[in-house]
Amino acid sequence: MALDLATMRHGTTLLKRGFAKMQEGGVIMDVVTPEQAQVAEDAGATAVMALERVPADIRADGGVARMSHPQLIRGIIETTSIPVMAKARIGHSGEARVLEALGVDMIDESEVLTPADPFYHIPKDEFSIPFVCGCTSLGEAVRRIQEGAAMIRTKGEAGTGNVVSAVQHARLVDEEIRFLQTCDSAAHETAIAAIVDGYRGLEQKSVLGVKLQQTPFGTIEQCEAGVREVVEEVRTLGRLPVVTFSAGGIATPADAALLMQHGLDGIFVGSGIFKSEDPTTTAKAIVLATHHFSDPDKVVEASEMMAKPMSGLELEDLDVRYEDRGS
Amino acid sequence: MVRIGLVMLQGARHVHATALKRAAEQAGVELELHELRTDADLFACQPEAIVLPGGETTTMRLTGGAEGSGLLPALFAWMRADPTLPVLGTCAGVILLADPQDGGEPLIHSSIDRNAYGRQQDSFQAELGISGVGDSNTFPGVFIRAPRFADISAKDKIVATHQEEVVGVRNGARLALTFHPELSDDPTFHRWLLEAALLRATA
Repeated sequence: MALDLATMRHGTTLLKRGFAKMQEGGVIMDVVTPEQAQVAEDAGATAVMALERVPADIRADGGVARMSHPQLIRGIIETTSIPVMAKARIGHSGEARVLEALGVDMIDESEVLTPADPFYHIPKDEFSIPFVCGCTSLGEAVRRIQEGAAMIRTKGEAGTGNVVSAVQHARLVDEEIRFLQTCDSAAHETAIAAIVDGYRGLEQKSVLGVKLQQTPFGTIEQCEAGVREVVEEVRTLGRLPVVTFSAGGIATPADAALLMQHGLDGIFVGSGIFKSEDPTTTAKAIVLATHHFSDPDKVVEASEMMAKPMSGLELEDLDVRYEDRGS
Repeated sequence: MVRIGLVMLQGARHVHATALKRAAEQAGVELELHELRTDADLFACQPEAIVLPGGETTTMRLTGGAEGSGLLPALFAWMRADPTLPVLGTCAGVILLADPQDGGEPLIHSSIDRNAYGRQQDSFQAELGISGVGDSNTFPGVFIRAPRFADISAKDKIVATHQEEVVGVRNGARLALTFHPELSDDPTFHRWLLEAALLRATA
């Protein structure tokens, strides 16, 4: 049936945040082939992240990591009936435009890829499709939402099979939300200033004493007004105003249950599935544990299904910490 | 007091809870909201009305199917046992009602296609025409990777249309909407569910 497009609104904030809400309680899995996308869908994933290499391989290979080849993403889009996400480099609007034109359902502006802009993320309100962005703290989360992110995930430390960073980020965001809800107005103003300072990286690089006028998201005053608006929403709700997932290092059903118990809305699993011994079973087990995170018997059942999980890395041994990219 | 069972398998569940609470306040109804994850939750709750939220049906069928928590087959049997039980299914919820895949009869007569508008960039908001629910004849529609009715059965009543197309049907007390009333600020459909449940309890 032909639709009159003129009376239909596309790409609104409500549609973007609404899309993320449909992912609640779900597991989003990294896949590198259409066959893996099918395995993910059959195991109960709510979406797949289409990639050339999972984070563990990106880490092992080194070099500059970029957006995946369009052919690969297209192949996965054509195979699976669930939503397809893909990663763009931080601040790389050019890659994001390619992903938008390809028809991916959500863009992950991801620190797992090599950042393209050391100072700014992508102005996400200018796009018709939603973005998910990583955070290590409340300030990062607020800046990303102010820039138009429709979904937040903890950064964790991708490709390690080690959840320690994901737990740290979840705890810090929680604690900082509670702080904002109870602090006095002087502390509140200090917090706002600290969050807005995150936009002043470029200014700090100048030896000419340049005062920053413009960011990709408007003037610095407009950014501050946006930050205040998001902080107000956070204080009222006692949580981030967008769906918040955990990511980075989740490798077992118990890892997934742990992060869900921290109050996250769902789970991204990157290397944890297809770097494990039996990916099909790992995928099913992590979905089961995510769904029944508060029922220890079900998490036992999920854990028993598992063969060997991916091997893990100590964070001290890493050459590159992805979590430090793009604050 | 009204006892509502909210299906918690996966998806936009918390916005439905918020919408139900707001509708209950507006209607002056005391709401008892029960989260349904397993068949045991259903039997313990004995809901007077049911909400099936949007999300991914592929996931819901796995987590709630006979091999999973067993909620879906139990829930479909529960609905079939009493056609007067008010049900609100949105988006993915409509797919489950039209195609329960448990070997039993569908819960609505019309048939449905998944993701039939296209991808997320084709998701849209538009004003809808509604009839037979609430006092207004328009409603702010929010469609996210929405399904589309493939065939409208004459046995279902049309409750919502977008342009020429049917986007909501009713089979007795079961309401199936391809859009997301829980994302609009308009509590019409949630209020309808509460009031239908109250009416049935006092009948």
